[in-house]
Amino acid sequence: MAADGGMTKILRDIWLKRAILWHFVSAELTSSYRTKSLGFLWALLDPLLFMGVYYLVFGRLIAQREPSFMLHLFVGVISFRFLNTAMGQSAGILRGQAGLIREIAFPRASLPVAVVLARLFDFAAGCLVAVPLALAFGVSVTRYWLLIPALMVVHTLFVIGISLVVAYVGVFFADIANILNVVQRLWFYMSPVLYPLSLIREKAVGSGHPALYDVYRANPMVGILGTFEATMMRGHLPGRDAVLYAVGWGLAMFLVGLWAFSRVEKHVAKYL
Amino acid sequence: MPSTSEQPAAGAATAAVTGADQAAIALEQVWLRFSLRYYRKRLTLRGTVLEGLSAALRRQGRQQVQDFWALRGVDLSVKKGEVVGIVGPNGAGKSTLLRVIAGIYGADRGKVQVRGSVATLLSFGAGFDPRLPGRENVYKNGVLLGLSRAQVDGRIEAIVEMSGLGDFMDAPVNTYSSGMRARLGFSVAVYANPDILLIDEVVAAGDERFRNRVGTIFDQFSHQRKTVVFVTHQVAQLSQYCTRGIWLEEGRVHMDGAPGEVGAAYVEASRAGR
Repeated sequence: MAADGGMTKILRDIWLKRAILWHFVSAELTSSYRTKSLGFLWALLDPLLFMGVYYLVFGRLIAQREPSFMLHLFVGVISFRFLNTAMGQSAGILRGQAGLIREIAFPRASLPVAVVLARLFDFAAGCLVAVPLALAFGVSVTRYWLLIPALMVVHTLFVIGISLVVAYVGVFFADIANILNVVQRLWFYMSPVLYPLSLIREKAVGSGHPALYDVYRANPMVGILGTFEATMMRGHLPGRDAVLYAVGWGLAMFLVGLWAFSRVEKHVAKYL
Repeated sequence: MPSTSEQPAAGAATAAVTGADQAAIALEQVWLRFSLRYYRKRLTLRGTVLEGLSAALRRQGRQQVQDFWALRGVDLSVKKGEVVGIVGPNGAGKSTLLRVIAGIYGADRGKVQVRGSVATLLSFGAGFDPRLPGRENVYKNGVLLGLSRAQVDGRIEAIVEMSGLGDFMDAPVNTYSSGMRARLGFSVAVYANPDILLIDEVVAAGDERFRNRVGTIFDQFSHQRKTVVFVTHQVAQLSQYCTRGIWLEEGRVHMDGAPGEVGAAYVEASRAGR
């Protein structure tokens, strides 16, 4: 079987059996929200509440930055929550569903993909909350905000890709979750969320090693967050290079994820 | 990667195999391996790195990985309308064979061709979520076996009726006896209306009335040119249900023929203590 055959087969199988994918997505959302008294309202309340905390800490206590910084912080945090929860859940999803995997032949990749889509629901709810937040912080909501769904698609492709890789590794190594915790924390602090990107540029230039800035920007999340930043905070289209960089990472990660998963999909049941 | 196909045969491939219009399942020299490395212990990243390091320090190659071949060249062709019963001692590869046919395990060598939709019932648990009520598990398994929720809606009354579970449908599955789970799992698999039904030893858990029902269902499947493959430890079930018997031994087909003869030979050999 050609390497490519396995990758397109994964997508085709998920699509042909999309009823199974939707089943997993709705089961995932149900278990996240149904047990709570406010149900799906939590998808909106949760980002509002943690934004309240960040507002107190970063808006009042530490530094009085420009109002758009609070929106920058918000978008960064929900983007990372999407990435981190999807990766974290994907790490154990195949082991967790071992009983089912050994019983019934359904497309295995639909498990991690469903996890990502359920967390995409949270992320989309967060993006909705961003609208009133922007108004509250005095950031104008321009027509470029209509591009946000497209930016979310790019980010989702990236998250699906990385979650497939994590799910693949998780089949063989039960302790992946512990390593992920450290990696995710480092990744978060190495990305412009708690501080603006301009801070890194100033420091790099100031230190006499402007190349460090380029190294920092190699981080795919810098590119992906940059597209949100330009659209939402700066009120203009992201530059062509920024778009190409973000889309490139999204597609590349998606393909790497498919490739990794295609190597193990046939044999997952044996290793669980 | 060995060439393996779980997809319905393409037009060209069909023409190449004579009489392939009859074959629901065709296995050619199928081999399947379990790497014992993965079962020895819980594999961890830390353990693997340490093992690799110590091996490198001792200037040796990687530790010899021990393999266990569960299937060793199985050839099997099953026609539409056949009800095949598989017998054999523990560890002969019976359950593994069902999982290969179902596409749950990919074969390491050889060719697997399965034409038509497949439903599986491979354990008493049937992949049910024990915390969820029977009814929700019916929806879950129905969808996983290829039905839409609307189709499950249309069939759930018949499924409840067949399983005989009545009021228990709204109780969590962990309150069920194994016979009840088997009946529910069987009913869902049957009403998934597959072309091929694969069942592993589960039927034995049901009571006498249920086992009679199973016989009727297998007959109906056979008349509808659907295929049943099931594993059993009760040799009497071979003659009771099947049109063909397979005796599996050490990952190979040891005997293939009329259910009565295969059953008798297997019992004979077991008594002789081979």
